[in-house]
Amino acid sequence: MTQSKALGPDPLKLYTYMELPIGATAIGIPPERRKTGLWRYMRPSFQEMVPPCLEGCPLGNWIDRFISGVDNKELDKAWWALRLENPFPGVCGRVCYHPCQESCNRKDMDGAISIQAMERYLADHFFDKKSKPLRPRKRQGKKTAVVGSGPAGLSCAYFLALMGYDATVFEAQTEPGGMMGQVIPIYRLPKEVLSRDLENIRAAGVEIRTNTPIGKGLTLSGLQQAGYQALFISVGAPLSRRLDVEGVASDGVYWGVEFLREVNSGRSIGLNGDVVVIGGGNVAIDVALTALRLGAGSVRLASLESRAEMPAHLWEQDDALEEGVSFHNGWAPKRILAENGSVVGIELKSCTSVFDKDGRFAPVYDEAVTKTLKAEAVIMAIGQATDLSFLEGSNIRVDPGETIRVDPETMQTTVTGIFAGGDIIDQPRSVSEAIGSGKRAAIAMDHYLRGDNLRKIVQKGSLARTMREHLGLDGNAVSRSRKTATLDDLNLGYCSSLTPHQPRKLSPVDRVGNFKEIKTVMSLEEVNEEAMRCLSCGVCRMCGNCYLFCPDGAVQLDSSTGRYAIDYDYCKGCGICRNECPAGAIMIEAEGEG
Amino acid sequence: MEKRKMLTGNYAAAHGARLARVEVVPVYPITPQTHIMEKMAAFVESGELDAEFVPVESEHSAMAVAIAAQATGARTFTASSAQGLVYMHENLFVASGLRLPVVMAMVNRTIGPPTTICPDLGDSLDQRDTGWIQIYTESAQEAHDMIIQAYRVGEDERVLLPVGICFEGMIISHYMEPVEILDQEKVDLFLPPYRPEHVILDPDRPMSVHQLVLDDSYYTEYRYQQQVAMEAAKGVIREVDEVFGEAFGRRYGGLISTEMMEDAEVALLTLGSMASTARAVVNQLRKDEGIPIGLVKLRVFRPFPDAELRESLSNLKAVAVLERDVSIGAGGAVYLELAHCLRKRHDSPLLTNYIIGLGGRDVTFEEIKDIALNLFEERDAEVMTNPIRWYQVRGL
Amino acid sequence: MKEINIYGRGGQGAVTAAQILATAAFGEGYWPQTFPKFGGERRGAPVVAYVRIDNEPIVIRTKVYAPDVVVVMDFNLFKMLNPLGDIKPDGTAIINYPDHGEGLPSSIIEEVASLFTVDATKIAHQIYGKTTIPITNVTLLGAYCAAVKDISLESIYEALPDFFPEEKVELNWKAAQMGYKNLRGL
Repeated sequence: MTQSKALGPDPLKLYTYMELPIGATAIGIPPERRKTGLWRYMRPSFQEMVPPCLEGCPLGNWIDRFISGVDNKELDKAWWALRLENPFPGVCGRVCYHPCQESCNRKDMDGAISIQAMERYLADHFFDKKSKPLRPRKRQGKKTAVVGSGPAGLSCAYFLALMGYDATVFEAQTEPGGMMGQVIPIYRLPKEVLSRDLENIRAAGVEIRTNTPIGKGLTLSGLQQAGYQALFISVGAPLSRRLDVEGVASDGVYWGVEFLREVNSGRSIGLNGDVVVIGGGNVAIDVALTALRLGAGSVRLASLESRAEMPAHLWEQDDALEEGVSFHNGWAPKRILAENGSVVGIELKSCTSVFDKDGRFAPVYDEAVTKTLKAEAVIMAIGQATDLSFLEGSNIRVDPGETIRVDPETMQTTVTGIFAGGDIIDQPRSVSEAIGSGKRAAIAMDHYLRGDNLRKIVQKGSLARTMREHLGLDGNAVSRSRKTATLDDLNLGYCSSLTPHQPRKLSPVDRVGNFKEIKTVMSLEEVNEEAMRCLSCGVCRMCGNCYLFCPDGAVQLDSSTGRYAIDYDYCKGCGICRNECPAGAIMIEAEGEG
Repeated sequence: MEKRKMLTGNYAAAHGARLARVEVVPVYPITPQTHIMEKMAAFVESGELDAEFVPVESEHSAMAVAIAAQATGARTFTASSAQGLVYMHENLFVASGLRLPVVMAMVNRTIGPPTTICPDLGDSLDQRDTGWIQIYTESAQEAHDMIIQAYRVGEDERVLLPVGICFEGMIISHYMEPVEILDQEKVDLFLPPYRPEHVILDPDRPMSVHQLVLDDSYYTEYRYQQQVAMEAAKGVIREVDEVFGEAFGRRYGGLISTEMMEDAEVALLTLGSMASTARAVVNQLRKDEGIPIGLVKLRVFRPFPDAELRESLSNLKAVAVLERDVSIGAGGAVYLELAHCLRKRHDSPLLTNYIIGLGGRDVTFEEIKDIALNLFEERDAEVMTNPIRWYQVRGL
Repeated sequence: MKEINIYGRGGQGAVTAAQILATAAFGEGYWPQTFPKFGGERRGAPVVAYVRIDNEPIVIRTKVYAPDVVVVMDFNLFKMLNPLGDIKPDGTAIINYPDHGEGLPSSIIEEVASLFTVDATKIAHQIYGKTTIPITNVTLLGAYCAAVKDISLESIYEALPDFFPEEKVELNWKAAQMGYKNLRGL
């Protein structure tokens, strides 16, 4: 506590009436001499919790920090925090299925914070601005290689570059980006947005060599011999999973991923009659909406699963329904009907259940119950498949599902120094999951390259999952527990109900027959209001309530950390700071315990 | 049956109000309120007292509710202290002017700044011109008894004035000591129900009160009625003290009480809790040192007992007034009135005034003894030099 | 007249302890008087309550300047003030201290003519469970009865219903008995 400068009498001193300061009475014993800390039964301390959005984010985005940056009108700081953890803010701001919002504590109050729209806003805001690349660490003088330039590979390369490594990405195709460029329809992800994110990744120091497949000529071991000391494999699952039913070879039968890739590459596919899409996932929805844009007369979507069981996200299903796609749930393809080698329809059989009692995929059909849909094209979008032929001759272990086996913490394959991530390993196939695996691998590769004992680090539970933890960039002197903050941990007295802003969408009418981006960007005002709605669950937002309310002036700003700190010489443990902390970032326990 | 119990002054006062069967208890429940109201709330909650407990947003409002309730014919009780009592000031005139015998426990505490929670009589003495009867008590027992007597005094048709029963914060309010709680049946005999005829808000009998008097038609007469009532209160207080004594076996002496005054040459005059320690000093000086000293305890400040005081003090050589209050720029409130009451008489004693115990500063046996001995030494002086003495001020 | 100072920290029940002791004394036919030190009630801050016990009504209304007995409900108080600073030369002190009083600073031992300890915190935890503020007041009253011997333990029992709801009386009686039994003289 700083020395009190206030003038006033000291009750411990027996003044004469002439010596007693006139009029001043307020301070009593100078506060610095009143060691009220001795009164304490309870001990408060700053102890942050994990906000549920962070818990939900597969790539470890620094959500609380970029929201508080927006809230403080410090967009540069928000953008810095975002780029530190995500090389693809433009992409994720559009296509991520935002599990952060699903777990937002505010969801059941008045609606989740539109975190994704905020991320998109930042990416769009800085779209034309040259941002100085982040250089959190000096050059390490070591070479690393990444095979495949999808979100996982580029993520891994980006973070390796941030950590000072030379990162070279080998891409077989002519354009980098993997599924993001080739498959995701441009009405969800315009090409220039991806290009912009790629530009930033290159600016960070990543070298991308396109048209350079790994396998026949240049092999993994060849890369190692060429001095790349750690490798990351992320060739994805670029193929459609095939299904062998009668008539599948007919003209007018397409495969989902390949179909989307054709469309994105600009080759024209003429569709004008009735189209049936088989599949219940997000790719099936992309296929259905793309088919409509290509001129299909009608699009019907048949899936084994009921509406509730469909893996496609609800809002994607809603988009499809809005645009006129009809759903046929509980049906499986029995055979494709063809005349003169061309599709005329499809016969479906009833699927009575999809999963067994343990939740495993085990469809049961009733072959007797069938229906036939007329179709001029059938597009099969029942899943993706990997192509592991390039691994021939290596010791990398492959699992039965045709995925590469990795340690789930370090992403290291069965071969030391070779890591893998993205759709090639067994994890949910999404852009954010892929970016997350690339980042985790980059962190493990850093340890590997520095000669650390990875296994020990994992055993100790000290393997970081984010850049800010790994590089100690949190700038946060506050300790954080692993507990996720719930509504019960917060003081909602400081929160008033506010109508959420959500990104607007083009009306279904305006979407027909074009590939214009469906979702529009929010205004700065809307984004600021969204940031204001954030409850900052479990994370100190420097609101200063603890400082304001502390009756003993025992909460002070520590200039060395820029954070509030409690002076236990004076804290008498009243608990007011804890009660008045809106964010639940202060805990209290009995003195002498914990 | 009376039973004796360990009680604080606050609780003793609350028991008094309960036994008086008060019907409305308006209260501002926050600082500077006392435990009295906490106990009243408990009595109402437990059913021991059938009354309306009305929490309000300020002391000013508490008195407004008390006035309105009393005006409907309900016996009303409230309590306040320090800044709260001062905040009531305006409405105190109304209660008295409308001749409503509200009773209030005035727990004497300092008026800040500097804020303390300690005793000082300044808060109630400051209300001397409001037309309230003011009775000062020296123990929890006296506070208990006087709350009950206050209703009988105030409601007497010769009086019809509100009454404040004053006792010092902490020293009486928080001291716990044996108190005899009076028997309800006997109290009921002593204190009949309140049945007002003069001011009564009754829809069947419309009456206008508290109206504008724009000309000089009767304002002066209205005030003089209050003066007459105050004068009459002197006799009523004595009378009630006697009746109370017969009923409960305890008498306090009316407007003043005296000790060893018969052959005294000098006397201490004080009020409130200081009387206890002063009594012990007088007894000791008489017994051990043979000093002809007596004690006068002022029990009632309004109406001011000038005749009684003249009678007790006239033939003395010197009197020291010890009081826990001061009218800044003059002297102690009691001393000033006493000086006026003993003025211009050839047999008037020399007077000194000791401002002592302000803000709860302890007044010890030794200090009072020192004052008494000093007084005895000065008794034959021509004139008292420097009569107003700030006894405990450091640096004097 | 006997004068007793009971020191505790806000929330521990020092004022209640003084009132129970005075009520118990009253039950035995004495004229007691009790009052707290004037001040705000602040959790954890030092609190002192005074008790006077006499055979006749007590007329003085002043602070206690030289107590015959001092009860210290929380040893942490010694970090804030010296509860034994004004004790009479032949005074008695009863201090809440663990481990049969072993390790008690010699400055305290030398200051008091008649010194007792009782591990009231441990007893409080046994009887009332683990509370944030150890409730040591009634236990120390039991210890007082064993040490000073002017008030009987039974009188404490008789006084308890004035201060606790019916269901807590037996629990506190147990605390008083434990305090009585576990007093250690030094």
